[in-house]
Amino acid sequence: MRNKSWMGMLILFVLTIILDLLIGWPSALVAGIVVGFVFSVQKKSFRTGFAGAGLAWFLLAIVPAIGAPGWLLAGKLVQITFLPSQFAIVMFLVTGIVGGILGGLGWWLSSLLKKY
Amino acid sequence: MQKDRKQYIVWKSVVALIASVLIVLLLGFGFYPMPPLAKLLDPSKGVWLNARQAEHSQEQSVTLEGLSDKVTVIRDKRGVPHIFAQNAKDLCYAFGYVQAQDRLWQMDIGQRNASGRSAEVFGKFALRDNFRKHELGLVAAAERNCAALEGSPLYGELEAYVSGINAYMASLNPSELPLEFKLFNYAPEPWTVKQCFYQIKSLTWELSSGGYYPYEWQKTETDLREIFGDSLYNRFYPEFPAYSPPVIPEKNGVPPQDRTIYSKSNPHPGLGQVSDTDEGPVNLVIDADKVVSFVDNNAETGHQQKMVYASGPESQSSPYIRGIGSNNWVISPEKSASGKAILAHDPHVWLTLPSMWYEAHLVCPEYDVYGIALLNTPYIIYGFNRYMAWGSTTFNADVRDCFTLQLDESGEKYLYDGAWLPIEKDTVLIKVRNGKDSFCVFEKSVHGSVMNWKNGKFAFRWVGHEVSNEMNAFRNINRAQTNHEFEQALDDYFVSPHYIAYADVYGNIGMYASAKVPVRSNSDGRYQFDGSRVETNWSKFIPFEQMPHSVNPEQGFLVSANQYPVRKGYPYYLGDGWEEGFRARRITQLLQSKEKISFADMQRIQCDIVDARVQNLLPIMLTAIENKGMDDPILREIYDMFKTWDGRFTPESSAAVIFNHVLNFSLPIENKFRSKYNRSFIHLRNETTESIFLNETGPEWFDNTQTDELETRDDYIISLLKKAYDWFAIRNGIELEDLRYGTEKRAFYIDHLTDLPGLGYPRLPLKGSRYTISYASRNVGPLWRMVVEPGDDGRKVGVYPGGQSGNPASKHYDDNIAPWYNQKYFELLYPKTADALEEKNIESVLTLTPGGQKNAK
Repeated sequence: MRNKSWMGMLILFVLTIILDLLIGWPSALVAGIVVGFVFSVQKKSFRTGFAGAGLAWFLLAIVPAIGAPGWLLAGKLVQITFLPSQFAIVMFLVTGIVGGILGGLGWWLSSLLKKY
Repeated sequence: MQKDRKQYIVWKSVVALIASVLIVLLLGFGFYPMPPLAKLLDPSKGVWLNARQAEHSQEQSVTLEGLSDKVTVIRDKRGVPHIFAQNAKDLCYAFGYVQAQDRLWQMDIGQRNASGRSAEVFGKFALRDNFRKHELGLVAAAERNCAALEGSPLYGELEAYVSGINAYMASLNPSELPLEFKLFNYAPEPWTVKQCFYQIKSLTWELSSGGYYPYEWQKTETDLREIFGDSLYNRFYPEFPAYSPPVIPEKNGVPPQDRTIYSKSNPHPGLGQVSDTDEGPVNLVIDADKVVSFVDNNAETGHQQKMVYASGPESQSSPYIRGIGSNNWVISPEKSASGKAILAHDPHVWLTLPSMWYEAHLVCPEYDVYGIALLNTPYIIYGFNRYMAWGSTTFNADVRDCFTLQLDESGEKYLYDGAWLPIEKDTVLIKVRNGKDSFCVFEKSVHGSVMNWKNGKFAFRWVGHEVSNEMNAFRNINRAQTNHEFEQALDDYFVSPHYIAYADVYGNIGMYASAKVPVRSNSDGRYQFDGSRVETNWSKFIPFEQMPHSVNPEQGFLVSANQYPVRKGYPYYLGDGWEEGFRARRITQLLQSKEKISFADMQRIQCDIVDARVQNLLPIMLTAIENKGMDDPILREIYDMFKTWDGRFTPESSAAVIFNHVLNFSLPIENKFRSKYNRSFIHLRNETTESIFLNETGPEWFDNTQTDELETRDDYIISLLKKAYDWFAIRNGIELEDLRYGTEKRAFYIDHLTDLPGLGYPRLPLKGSRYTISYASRNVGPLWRMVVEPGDDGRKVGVYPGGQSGNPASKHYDDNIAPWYNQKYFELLYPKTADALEEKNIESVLTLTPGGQKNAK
C-alpha cells in the first residue's frame, strides 16, 4: 500500500511536469485525476496528490529562477503580500501549494469517483 | 441506521465535491480583484514565464506582413533600440513592434485610461476618472482629431506604427503577455490609429489645464482690489516677480526682424572656436552677500500678465498640479567653451515605473533622430537629430475658458445671442468590470462641454478640443534640418503650451513659447465669461510669429523654467499661471557667473541642488538672529548651522530642514485675510513673500496681532525659527543636529503605475527641493536629463529614472534609476549606420524582414 502510494506520487510528479509544459495550469489537476484513478489510495489521497503535484510545480518554478530574473521577480511579487523582498522563496512555496491543492483535489476527486 | 450513515457519506461527498470544484474555479479563473492564482503562478505559462523571457534573444529574426523592406533593430547595453529602416513607414512599423515588445501593458493601460475605459480593467474604482475623460470632452476630441487627419502622411505613418504593435501582439500566445495582464487577468485588444490620439490628448490636457478640472476665478479684479485695497493688491498680485527673469528677453516678446539666423552658408562666427582659458568648473556655492535680481524695474510693461495662480479660485484649493514643470536652456557658440551651441533639458514629470518615456534612436533616409518618445506615438518628442536638438518645458498659457450659462426654467436651454438654444446631450456607455455598466449623459453647448457647478451650469472650452496637430509637429521636428523648418513644424503645435528650446549645428539658439492661445475680446480669460454673449466666443489665435520667442539674443543664452514668458510691451493676454521664477533665476545666475560655460558645467547646473530661495532669504534670517537672537543658545546653534551651510538640499542636510520649515509659514498679513476669507483664497507665492521680506521690515507687515508688542521682520523671523525648534526638538524629540532632510517621508516615490507594492522602486531620500534646478518632490522629478551639442562631432548625454523594459523581471526595468539619482549621465550612442555600432555596445539584434508572419531563431 505504501509502495503504491509512493509510486503514484512519483508518477504524478513526472506527469505534472510533462502536462504543465503542454497545457499550463490544469496540469496538476488533470495529472492528479489520472494518476489518482490508476493508483487510488483510499486514505491520505489528498495528501499524496498534494505532495506529488506541489513538488512538481515548486521545482518547475524555482529551478530556472535560481540566480536568474525569476528570483528578482519573486522578490518583487512577494512584496504585494507586504513581505520584504528577502522572502522571495515564499512565492515559490505558494506556487507549490497552489499546484499541490490542484493535484491533491484531483487525486481525491478521482478516488471518490472510483469509490462509487 | 446504516442507510442514514450511507446518506451522510453521500451528502458529505457531494458537499466536498462542490467545494473542490469551487476551489478549482477560483484558482483557475479568479474572482476579481483576486487573480487566478493557478494561472498566475503556473510554472510554465504564468508569471515565471515572464521571468524567463525577461531579456531579448541575442539574435532574433522575424518575418512580418506589412513591412516593405528589411529593418534592423540593435539594442545597446541599456536596452535602447537603434532602429535602421529603409523608409519612414517601415521605421514607424518597427518602432511600434519594438515599443510593444518592451512596454505592451503600459501602452494598453495608457490608451485605455486616456479613452475612459480603464473601468473595464480596474472596475468601479476607475469609473469616476473615466467619466471625467468624457465629461472634459477629451475622448471625443481625440476621435475628431483622428478622423480629421485621415489620408494625411502622418496618418499613413500612424497606420504603419499600429500595424507594428498588432504584428507583435499577433506573435504572442496568451501565456506570453506581460505580467500585469496576468495580474489583472485581462487581455489587450488590437490597436487602431485612434489609440495613438487618446493618450496624447489626455496628456496635453493634464499639462495645459493647470489642473484636472476647469475652474476660473469667481471674483473679478475689481472685487480683489476692494478686498485688499490698491496698495496690498499690487503687492499681492504684482505684474511681474521682482527678482526673476522672463523666458523671452526680447522687447515686445519677439526678436527684431533683422536678427541674423545662421545657416550652412552663413554659420555663427564663433562656431568651433574652443576657449583656451580654463576658468574651472562653475561655482555652485551661494554668494550670500548679494541679492540676486535680473530685473530692470523701470521697464515699460505691456498687457498685464499677472501672477495670481497660487491664490486659486475662491472655494477651491489651487488646481495647479504642483511641480509639473521643467528646465531647458541653451547657450550660443560664443558663450560655450567648446564653441558649439549646447542645449540642456530636464522635464519634471511624474516618477513612475515603467517610466513615461521610451528612449530610442530612429533612422531612415528621411530622418535620423534620437531621444525620448511617448508610448503610443512613433515620434521622438524631446531629443536631437543630425542638425539640431530641442527640449521643452511647460508654458502655462491660458488655453481654456469657462462660460457661465444662463438657463431657462426647464434648465434644458441656455441663452446665446438672444436665442434659447437646447443643451445637446450625448450618452456614453462606460463598461465596469464586476459592476454595473454605467450609461453617462454628457452635455454640450456652442461654447463646449457643459459642467454642473454648484446650482448652475457652465460651459468649458479648451484649445485641445479643436482639431489639433501636435503629432504632426513632432513628425516634422524629427525631420527638420534648418531653423526655418523647425519653426514651420512648430506652427502645427496647439497644446499643451510649451517653451521649446532649440540649438543647431550652425550655431543658432532659440526659445519658442509654443501653443495656440486664443485672442479674447473684452476680457483676458482669467475670469468666467458671460456665455450668453456672442462676442465672448473665441475669434482667433495669436499668430505663430507673434507668439513670444527669441532667436540668437545678445545675451548668448536663453532659459526657461516655467516662469512668466515676457516682460516688456507684449500686446496680448497670455495667462496667469506661471510657475515661480526661482529655478530660472538660479540657472541665469550660474550661466552669468562665468564667461564661457563648458559641457560639464551644463551638467553640473542641471544637477544643482541649491534651493534658489536661499540666496536672498538666508541672509535675512542670519541678520535677524544677529540683531535679536545671539544670546539664545538655540538660535545661536541655528545661526552657526546656517552660516556654514552651502544652500544645498542634500539628504544629510539639517539646515535645509529648518530653512524649509520656516518658509512653510504664512506671513501675518496673509493670516489676517485667511481668517476673514476662504483659506485657499489667500496663498502668496514664494516670490511675493520674498519681495516683502526683502523690502519691508515694519510691523504693518509682520505684527502678530495676538500680542501686545509691535513685531518687526526680525521678531517675526525669530518667532518662526523658534517654532521650527519647538516642532522638531520639543514635539518630535529630534535634536537640530540630528535632523536630516532626506528621510523615508521626504523621499522620491517611484511607484508602479498601479501602485502595487514591490513593482515600484525602493524609497530614495529626497535630494533637492521644489526650488532647486534639479527639481525634487515626492513623486515628481527630472524625468529626463539631457545635455547635447548638436552635430555629429558634438557630445550627447542623457539619463532617465526608469528603464527600457516594462517587465519587472528584466534588468532593464529600473536600471537607470540609481545612476539618475547619483547624477550620472550616459553617453548617448548615435551611430549613422547599424555597422557603426561597436560590438561591445550591442546587447541584442532583431532583424525584421517582409513576408508572412513567422518567427525564426
